[in-house]
Amino acid sequence: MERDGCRLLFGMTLSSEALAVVPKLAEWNAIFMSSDNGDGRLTGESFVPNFFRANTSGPMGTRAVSLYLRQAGFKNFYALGMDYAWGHNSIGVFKDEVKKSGKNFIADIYSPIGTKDYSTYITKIRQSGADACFLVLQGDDNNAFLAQAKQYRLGDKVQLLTEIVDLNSIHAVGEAAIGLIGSSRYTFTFPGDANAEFVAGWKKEYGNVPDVFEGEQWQACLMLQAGIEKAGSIDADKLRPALETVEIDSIKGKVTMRACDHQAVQRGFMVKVVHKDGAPDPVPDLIATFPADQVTPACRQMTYDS
Amino acid sequence: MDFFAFLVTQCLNALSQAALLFFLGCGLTLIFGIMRIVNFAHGAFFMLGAYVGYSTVHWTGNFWLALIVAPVAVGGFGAAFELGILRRLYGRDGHAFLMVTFGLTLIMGEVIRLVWGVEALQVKPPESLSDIVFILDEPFPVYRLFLAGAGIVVAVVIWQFLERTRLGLLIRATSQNAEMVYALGTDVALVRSAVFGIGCGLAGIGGVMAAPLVTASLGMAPNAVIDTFVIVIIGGMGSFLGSLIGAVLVAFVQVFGTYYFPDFAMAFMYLIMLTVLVVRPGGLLGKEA
Repeated sequence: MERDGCRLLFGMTLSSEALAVVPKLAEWNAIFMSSDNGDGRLTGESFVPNFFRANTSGPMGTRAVSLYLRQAGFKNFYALGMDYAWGHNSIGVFKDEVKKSGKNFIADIYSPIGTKDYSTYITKIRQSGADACFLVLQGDDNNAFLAQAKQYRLGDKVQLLTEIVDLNSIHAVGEAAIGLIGSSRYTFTFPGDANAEFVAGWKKEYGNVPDVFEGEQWQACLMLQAGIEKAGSIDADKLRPALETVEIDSIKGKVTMRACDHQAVQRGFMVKVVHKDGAPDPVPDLIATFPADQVTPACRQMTYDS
Repeated sequence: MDFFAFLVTQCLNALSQAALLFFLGCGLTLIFGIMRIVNFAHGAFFMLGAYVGYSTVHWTGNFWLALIVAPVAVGGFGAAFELGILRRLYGRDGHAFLMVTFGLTLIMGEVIRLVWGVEALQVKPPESLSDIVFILDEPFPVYRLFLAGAGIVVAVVIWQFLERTRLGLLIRATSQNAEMVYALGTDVALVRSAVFGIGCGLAGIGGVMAAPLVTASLGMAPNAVIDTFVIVIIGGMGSFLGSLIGAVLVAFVQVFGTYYFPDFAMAFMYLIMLTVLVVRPGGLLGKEA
């Protein structure tokens, strides 16, 4: 960065890395356009003027799940998460949301990272009498749980909910993902001409459909492009004010950058994994959309008042 | 769910896990017993078994065929590795084997990444094993019953093989006194290659059988090798029966421990190992106490 005099940062995937980089942006005089980083703090307590987030943040994803819960018929909830910060944080937020909506939260349980046998956890979920279970699992752990839950027919008795639905894990477990409900930052089945055009272009280039991050990165590209065209420069002092008022017609619909914390205001989506004739893998199907003003938190906030 | 139903299904769960652990532990302990080397690559052979199983199912659609192809391929590769590389190292101290088998783990991990890619791969059990049965009104996956049954069958087969066959006799004799077996006119080197191949083949079959539960993924190897070492340390290095007892003990404590004390889920396996090491440093059935 320093040697090459780099002025734009793009494509970093881990929130932990982004949090480490943002304090240096002013010194580098560089703009960071986030396409994947979900940590709420980036537009909250760790906000810096040169950071912009085009993507849906983690709290916005959880928010979509909780808005969905208020309208869905489930009454008794259980939660299973990986035993580290992410699992505990997400389930903590979820627990609050369940209580706020006047429903019953039965219990939460945490599995060590790298758990291979989920039979005991599945037994506990079955015994709890819950009609829905919130999962905060990822990678191999998520795949193992879903594959085994399918073998126990857990989904027949309990609706499985998850924070994020992506194509990788659907591909890894196949039919075992069917029925799963979760929030989606992006999926190729979103409606609208802009998305259809993007998906068609992606298919032509790569022979498959774009996953969550690919859609999110495309949206961030569009936003950055709009900003640069408006500013006529990539110089941070010109680009920053230009980006602060950018509005684009994205693959997720209308997306507006707001000046107060540089979070792109956008809708929230809930999907359900279903079987589609002709598709080799199950696909996420849009089941609910929530307006941007309900999904995006107040400026520089990570939580929601109502 | 009444308590009796709970008890029966949890015991069956534990047995199905014990079977997977046994496939791993048994191979490692056989290899150690006869060669006095710790095969650090055992987890990688397990992982290779899962990937070969995936490809077999992918191309032929036949899971049963995968249960034959994977152990033969993985065992053959293991035997070739012993013949080509390990054989040159006999007589050196244990570090050489540790380094070489650790190196093999890294190489196999990278090769698998290049050949099969980074995404986890789904291995479907055959239709006949995908169903559920009701045990005292509780649904239970047929596949887990199959795992438990397969574990029992393989344990009996290996036991009879070691006790009743000529190769089994040679393996036992070599593990007790290799020089004497050699002096009596047996090609000990050949016995070693065979045992290394059999041990790796067992890990390979374990990999195929685990794949429908956990998918075939690059995280399998490190995960498996730790479990395997714990089982072998509990049972006693080189003891076949010890690996069986170790696998059953760990599986039962893990399943019931996680149910009653979920916060300590990760600790149980190591607690047993610690207790065994304090009471019997050589393992439950180890000879070098």
